[in-house]
Amino acid sequence: MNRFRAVAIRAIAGRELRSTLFNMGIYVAIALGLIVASFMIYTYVTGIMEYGMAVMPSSKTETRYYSELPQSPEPMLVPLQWTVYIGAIYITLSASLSISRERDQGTLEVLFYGPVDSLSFVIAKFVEQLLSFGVVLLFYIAYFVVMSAISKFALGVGFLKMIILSLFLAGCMASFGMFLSSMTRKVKTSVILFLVFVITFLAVPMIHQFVMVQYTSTMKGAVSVARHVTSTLNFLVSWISPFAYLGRGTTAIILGSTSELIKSLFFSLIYTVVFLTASIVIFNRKGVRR
Amino acid sequence: MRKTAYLLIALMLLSVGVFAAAPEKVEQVVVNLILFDGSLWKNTISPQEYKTFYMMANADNILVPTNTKVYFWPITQEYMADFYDLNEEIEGTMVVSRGNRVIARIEKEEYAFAYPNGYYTGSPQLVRGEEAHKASAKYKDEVNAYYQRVMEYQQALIDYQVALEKFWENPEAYRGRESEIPKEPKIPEYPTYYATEVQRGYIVNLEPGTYTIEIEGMPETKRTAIAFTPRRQGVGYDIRPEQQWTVPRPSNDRSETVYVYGKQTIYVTPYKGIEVNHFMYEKLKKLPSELSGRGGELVYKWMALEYLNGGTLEVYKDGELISTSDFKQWYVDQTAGAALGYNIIEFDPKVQGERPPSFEGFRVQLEGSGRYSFRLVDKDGNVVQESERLIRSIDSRSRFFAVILPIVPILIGGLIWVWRASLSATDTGTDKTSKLEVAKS
Repeated sequence: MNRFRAVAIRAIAGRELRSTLFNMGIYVAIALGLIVASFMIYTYVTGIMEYGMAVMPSSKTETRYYSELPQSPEPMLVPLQWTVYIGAIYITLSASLSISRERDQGTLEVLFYGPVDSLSFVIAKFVEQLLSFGVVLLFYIAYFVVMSAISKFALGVGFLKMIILSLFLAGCMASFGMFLSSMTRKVKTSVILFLVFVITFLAVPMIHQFVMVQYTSTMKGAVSVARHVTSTLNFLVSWISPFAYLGRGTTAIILGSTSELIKSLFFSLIYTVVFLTASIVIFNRKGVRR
Repeated sequence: MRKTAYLLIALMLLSVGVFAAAPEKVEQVVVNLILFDGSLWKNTISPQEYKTFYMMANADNILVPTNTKVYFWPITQEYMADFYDLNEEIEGTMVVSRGNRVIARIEKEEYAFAYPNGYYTGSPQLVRGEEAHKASAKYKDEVNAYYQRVMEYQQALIDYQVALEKFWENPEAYRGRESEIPKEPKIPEYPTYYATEVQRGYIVNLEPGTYTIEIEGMPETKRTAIAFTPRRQGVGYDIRPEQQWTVPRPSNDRSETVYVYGKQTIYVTPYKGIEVNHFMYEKLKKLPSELSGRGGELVYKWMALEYLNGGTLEVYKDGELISTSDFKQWYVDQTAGAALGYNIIEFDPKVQGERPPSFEGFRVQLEGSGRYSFRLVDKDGNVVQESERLIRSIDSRSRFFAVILPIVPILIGGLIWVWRASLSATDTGTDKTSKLEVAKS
């Protein structure tokens, strides 16, 4: 990468990060994540107070299996996972608007009169999303450290691994959001696409799980067809959805499988590179005009 | 019209016949498997449809190839053998191979299971050859002796009733001769010791690995045996808080933390645990079932085996030994009156009489705040491996902070917004001033 590109990336990413930090959106997203985490921790504490005690694994039962989890994982891990989900959804929304908004407002064309090309622009936007997520993560870490000190719930190695994993997830989410954004010219279209994909990514595994546990003595044929359809969809979603990558990584952490965690990080990295490349290619084809 | 009616009736009759059909039995050679699961021997079969079976390595397992009738039972989705219909044990030499190498030739031998502490308590022992005959004979002798005692008891009971009638004729005559008042004879106790009949089978004890097992010259007896070991062994605990003693929480792994609230008394009952592959272990217990172990090929689970009695439990606070607790029997004593309530007291057979103890274990009293841990020390004073557990006492204030902390980011965002707004107002003011200055000039 030449020096001019690096300067352009730094300038655009810095400008965008300032803009993000000076808006309420990021703080609302952080607060939403913390509300979910607080609800879970509140429930744990209440449960222990009512029952008198609880036994929770602070690390894992090592296996490379994905479906079956221990009943009660490290207390802070599940709340962190949900806060990361919310933070990542915010990043995807932000990324999915990043290109289309500038294109829609006509500022993109003006920007490209300067020393900016598609590669530096897309990378800059991507870096900005990662930095924004870093800020979100700092809030989360501070929250969990404070809550751990107050509640005495342990912060194990799994917590640290989860933080690292979430950075890779942010990469996946940001690249996916930018991929959506590069395909559209209007902000409205980007938002609709974002909603459709996020709902699909979250709903398909749930529907699949629901169909798989249905009793099959009646309507055997219909249930069988539904199982095949949802299995295929779930398989596709497990490769396309960034949430699936986080889910696999989280499972690896909870089960303490280092090899699976490394594999999950590696696949997340490939996912990010593929979608970023696709974003640049599509961006080039679509051009900078409205 | 009449033809159609006949046809319908015929179809109905046929359909009734179809629905009432019993499952079809097929004669085939199965291997009757009596496999060790870590504490007991479990019985299952290996039919032709399930030629690979799983067993614990380095343990005595019993295989009995048998010609029988097999059927599929759709309700539980499993193959079953009807040994009552046909039960022909196959004789010959069992050849055990690993790859192309024959590693053992095993002859059928006699065995029995002995239960020194009774059928329902403690682990059974596999006894072989002459010992099996002795164990079985011992049980029979004890049963015969028991029946002899029962007969003596019946006679003593009759004598007692006769003596009692005599006593009631003139009780005053016994004044000063109280020792001569008839006493009711004691009901004889059934023997605790139990042993099965002597049976015959191939006793196989293999190192971990995959083997081919076959009766020489009988290919229909050929099976693949996968011998596995537990991945980890350790001490698990049933931990019950004093206020809910009926709902113990298991703790299998030393990485598990016990969270408690406030001043708390907990009861800890240790047991021997093994961590095994879920699929293999379920198949060991029930091989020919389509459902057993399904989906658990890569899952490892802790299995509780037998409870560990004796020893002491050392309790530490912030790294310093604060107390030791002895293994005791406990009795849950319901409080008097209509209101519900109980006290957990040490079991005393003199006080509780024939009532059994409610549970056994160590009592651990925690003062509240602090970081505790406990570990098991055996009768010889050695710390039992994998027996440590960490206890953390949680703080109820965390609920308050859980409500407050999510507001902080909103406050920060709000402050930034106010600051930005004030900056923007200042900028606008400067602009106006500068424009006025330009106009004046």
